[in-house]
Amino acid sequence: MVFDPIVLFFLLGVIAGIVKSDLKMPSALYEALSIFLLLAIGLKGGVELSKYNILELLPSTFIVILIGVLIPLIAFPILKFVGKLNHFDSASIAAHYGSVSVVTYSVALAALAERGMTHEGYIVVYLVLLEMPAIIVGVALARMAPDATKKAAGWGKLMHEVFSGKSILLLTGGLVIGWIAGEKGFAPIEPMFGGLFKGALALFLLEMGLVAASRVAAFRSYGMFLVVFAMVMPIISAAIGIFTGFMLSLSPGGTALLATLYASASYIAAPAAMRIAVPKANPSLSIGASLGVTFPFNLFVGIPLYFGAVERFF
Amino acid sequence: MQVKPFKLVTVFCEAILESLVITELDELGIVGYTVSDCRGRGTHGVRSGSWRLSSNIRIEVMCDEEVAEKLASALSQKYDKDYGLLIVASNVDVLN
Repeated sequence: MVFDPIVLFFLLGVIAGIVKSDLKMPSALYEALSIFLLLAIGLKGGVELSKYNILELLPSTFIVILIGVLIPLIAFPILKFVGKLNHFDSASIAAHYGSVSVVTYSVALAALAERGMTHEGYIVVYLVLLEMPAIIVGVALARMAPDATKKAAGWGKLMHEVFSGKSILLLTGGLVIGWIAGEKGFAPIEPMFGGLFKGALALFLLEMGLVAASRVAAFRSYGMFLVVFAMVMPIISAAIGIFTGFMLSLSPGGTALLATLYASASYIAAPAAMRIAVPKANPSLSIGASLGVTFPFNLFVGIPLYFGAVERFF
Repeated sequence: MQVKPFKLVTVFCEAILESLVITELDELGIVGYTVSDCRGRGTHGVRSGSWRLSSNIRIEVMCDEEVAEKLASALSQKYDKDYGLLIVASNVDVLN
């Protein structure tokens, strides 16, 4: 089995979009599913985290975040000098690729389960922590532009957008609740947040397929460079992730998960933050690349590739 | 019954601008506003409303002409260039 069946739901959504089907997920369901997924990931991670001594995790967490800062700094010069994109678009896209995608992470979790691989439960903490640094780096890069205006929203507004955004709030909240509850406290709510997780993810992927299909139409305007970048950058980031996982002596499952995290590109938190903080960047370029190309690439090619590489490496 | 003439200012913009527009309202001392989600098509293409980044909102406020002009100039100066934004005003009578 190469693909997890849930990624086929994504394909179904793409097909529905391409044939202009009347299929439309009510936005209330989309909201509800994303709240459910974020909480479920946070909770399960929190339960796992309760088995570890948090202080012992600090050094490795620091390294993982440092690499998260490094990735947009690698992406930016490639975009600006090789791709000849303007300064603001380069900064914005770099932020998207440094930040992470919760759904890609979820699919990787499902892939781990499919292969019977285990992972360190605290990887979910990295998911929470990796969302922000790249966004901050991206904004800082954008503000270094020679013609940057001071009119853009301030850092305060941006920080509020990122930290009060539901993804950070629910992931962190779930993490803390799960951590306090522990395995025993989580057991009564496990059927809801554990058992239903994969089914809910499948429905969410159907919606993602629909949204991604609406971006496919604009492919021609992106230019070839961005399409290639959106497939090569995740591989570079995953390679860095595999190396990092190896250096931190993570298990094969944990390494594959970390590689997938670095390879994933944000299409929810980063676009919203960038739209506010870097208004001059064209959002259709960054979202088109991260959601239209990188997300499906990771689903169908990336995740099997990173898992294969880890299995060979270890 | 006394009828009071007012300007009804309607701001159509990207959903992401909501909190920024409301900050402007606060600064001008406008206490009341109504926000509704909407979707449609304009010079920025189709805004399908299927997720937040492609959602639009409509913010309606009632104020006198002077404040309406200040609001319009503040918003267009800050956001017109980089965001989808349309500001219209009409004369209304508030009946109660």
